[in-house]
Amino acid sequence: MTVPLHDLSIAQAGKQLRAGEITSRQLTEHALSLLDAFDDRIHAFITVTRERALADASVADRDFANGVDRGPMQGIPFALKDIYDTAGILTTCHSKLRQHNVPAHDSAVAEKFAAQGAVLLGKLSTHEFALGGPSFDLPWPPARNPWNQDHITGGSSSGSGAAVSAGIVRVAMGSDTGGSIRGPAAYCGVVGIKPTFGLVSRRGVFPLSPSLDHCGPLAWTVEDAALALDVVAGHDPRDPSSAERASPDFLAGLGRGVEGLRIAVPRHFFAKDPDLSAETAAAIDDALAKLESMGAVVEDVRLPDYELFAACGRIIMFSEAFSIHENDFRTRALDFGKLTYMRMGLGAFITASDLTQAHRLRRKLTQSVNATLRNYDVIVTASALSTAPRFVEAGPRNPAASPLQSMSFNVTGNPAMSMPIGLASNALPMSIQIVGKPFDEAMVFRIGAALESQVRHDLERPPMCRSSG
Amino acid sequence: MAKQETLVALEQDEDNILREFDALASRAQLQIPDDRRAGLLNGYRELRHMVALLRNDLTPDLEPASTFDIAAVAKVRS
Repeated sequence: MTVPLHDLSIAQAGKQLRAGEITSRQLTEHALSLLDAFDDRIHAFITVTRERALADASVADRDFANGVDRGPMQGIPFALKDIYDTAGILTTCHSKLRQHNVPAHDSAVAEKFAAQGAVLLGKLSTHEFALGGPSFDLPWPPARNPWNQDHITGGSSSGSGAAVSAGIVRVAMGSDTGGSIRGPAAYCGVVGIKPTFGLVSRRGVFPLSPSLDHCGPLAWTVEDAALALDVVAGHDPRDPSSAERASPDFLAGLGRGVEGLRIAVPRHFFAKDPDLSAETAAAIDDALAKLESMGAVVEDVRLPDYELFAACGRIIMFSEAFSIHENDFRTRALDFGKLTYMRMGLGAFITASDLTQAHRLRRKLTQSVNATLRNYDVIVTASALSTAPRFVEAGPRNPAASPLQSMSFNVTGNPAMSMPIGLASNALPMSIQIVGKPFDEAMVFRIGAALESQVRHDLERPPMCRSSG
Repeated sequence: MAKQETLVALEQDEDNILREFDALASRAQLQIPDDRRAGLLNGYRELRHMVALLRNDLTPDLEPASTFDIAAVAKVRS
């Protein structure tokens, strides 16, 4: 049986491209055909760069023919959240305030994909300025969940989650300030990693909250995510927060299993949360049991309460976000969507003393998490506490209707990955979160890949995509 | 009697919240559109709770040194 092109992993597609069994043009035309078939239902894309994609594919095919190998993403379609600058291509932040913005330069991440000869398929929906959504009062509609279009994708990397889940691309870049990669990954049934703070350059990415913003990939499998992170990681002297260290081999641990690894579970984070669904709780327990049966040591630990991490992160995020937009808040208030205004505007009400206390607490919380990680290889906890809510359950009256436990690791800067662990009875994905030591993404991927090998058979493509060969 | 005292306290608290909200909005030079005021005010109520949480368990010696790192800031970048 022939595997549909969108079900080839990046590594498998790479092998077939290099062997001359498929072409980048075939991959790209297939991706565009899926986009044409699905996007009017899921609204993942703001801009489709069709001509650019076909041109990129031609260059890749010519390079393959000439024996030029630029790296694992050569000839592979991908897409970028629409806060990543792309030279000569509309970059809107999903906002009326930037609806005609065409940058002159590529973001660092776009540069890295281009250097590998990857195929840019387009720019993806987001919550406005990576914060306000899902909203219906913006120039473009919100992305919808491929598993059920009555449900949200999570945000803010909403189009990234939808496009990967629907099979249009194997990898899409998102950004994560309080869970904006891991939330859409959780709700759309894909893998999403927020790397260590400073690992991936944020140059040319419109900021939400510079001390909490992280760039990272959403991908269909752990291996795809590791491979994509390998492409974009690395020091950038033009990003003041970029870490000066060499990137490790993120793929090195894949297939090595979890025998003898130590896993900490801060069960108190999620077990008593009223938003935790019984099915998600059972799925997390089942995943932990699988890791234990493969030889990992799983132990409960106590961290500071999640509420503290959330308060600390939100105070910092609202303050920094408002400081970026304060002039527009004064002069163009009605050009912001309602949700963005009501969330970001809170930054105006935070005092200098409040913000200083948040920074003091941040230091303490970071020390606490990393003290725990001295005795364990990873922390495993909930990602989303339940499956994706319906659109009617989210919105201005209930902006918190998407319970996630992700902000903690934006506060601490540790790498954190959300990955699917099966489908609930409502046919929507459930998820788990794996958190590593700073710059130890390889361990997160190692444990994620081992778990994926046990749970992945439960998770097919969304029903809307299953007839696409 | 106790119930009435509680109601009075809640009303006073609500008055305080509204006064704070208006003063801070004015300080930030915000003219909040009418249809967004109620939502922002609700958010402000939650914010006050978060701000109170921040101050639990913080000892005076815990400095926010991570906000400024001279080695990082002064580094010459190419």
